[in-house]
Amino acid sequence: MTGAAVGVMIAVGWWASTYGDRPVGITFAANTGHLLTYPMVGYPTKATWSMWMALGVPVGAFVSAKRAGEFGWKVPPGDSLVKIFGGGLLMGGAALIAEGCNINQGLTNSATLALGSLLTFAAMGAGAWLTLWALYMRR
Amino acid sequence: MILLGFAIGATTVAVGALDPLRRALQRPVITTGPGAAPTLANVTGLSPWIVIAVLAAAAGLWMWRARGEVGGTRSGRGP
Repeated sequence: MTGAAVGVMIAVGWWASTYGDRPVGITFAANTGHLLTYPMVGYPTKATWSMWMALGVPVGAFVSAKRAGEFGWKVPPGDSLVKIFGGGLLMGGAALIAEGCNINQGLTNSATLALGSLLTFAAMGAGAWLTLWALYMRR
Repeated sequence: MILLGFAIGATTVAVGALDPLRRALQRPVITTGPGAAPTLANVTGLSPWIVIAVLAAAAGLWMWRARGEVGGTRSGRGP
């Protein structure tokens, strides 16, 4: 059921994004990066459909968590902050290089069988496996 | 903290010191026939539905083989 719902959302994303500059579908990483670079350095030069969509995500998550009675602020343990910062650093840079994240390249664009996206998705899988190996399986 | 890292990473790659690296990595272009999109179906010359069926079968096989590992994680034996 979850997979089917995600598939429907991907299709809806393609349709809804036609109301922007160009159909781009649902993406999260690159536009999140743009949400941060746009006010700081003016990149990209204007707010895009994807940036507005990303702004709606925390609002939807907040409403959903509130309704489910699960909302709460959580502070990660101190020793995780360096790891979290490093992960954010890599995600931000890689999202701009790959022009998308696992949602954009893995679901939205791979659904069109685009070679570049399938290659990117495979590289993400390899990177995730290498990270798991380095963090947990190597010992 | 993750947003701070994200912002620094994205800015460095978008307009900062790693901008040349981004441009270099994004330079290669996959081209197919005139007017044809660079998709796996067009490159192989197969129907998109056949390509999707093969990918779905491969993913299904992979998930079927991973059944035991998922059960192990649920019972607390994960990393």
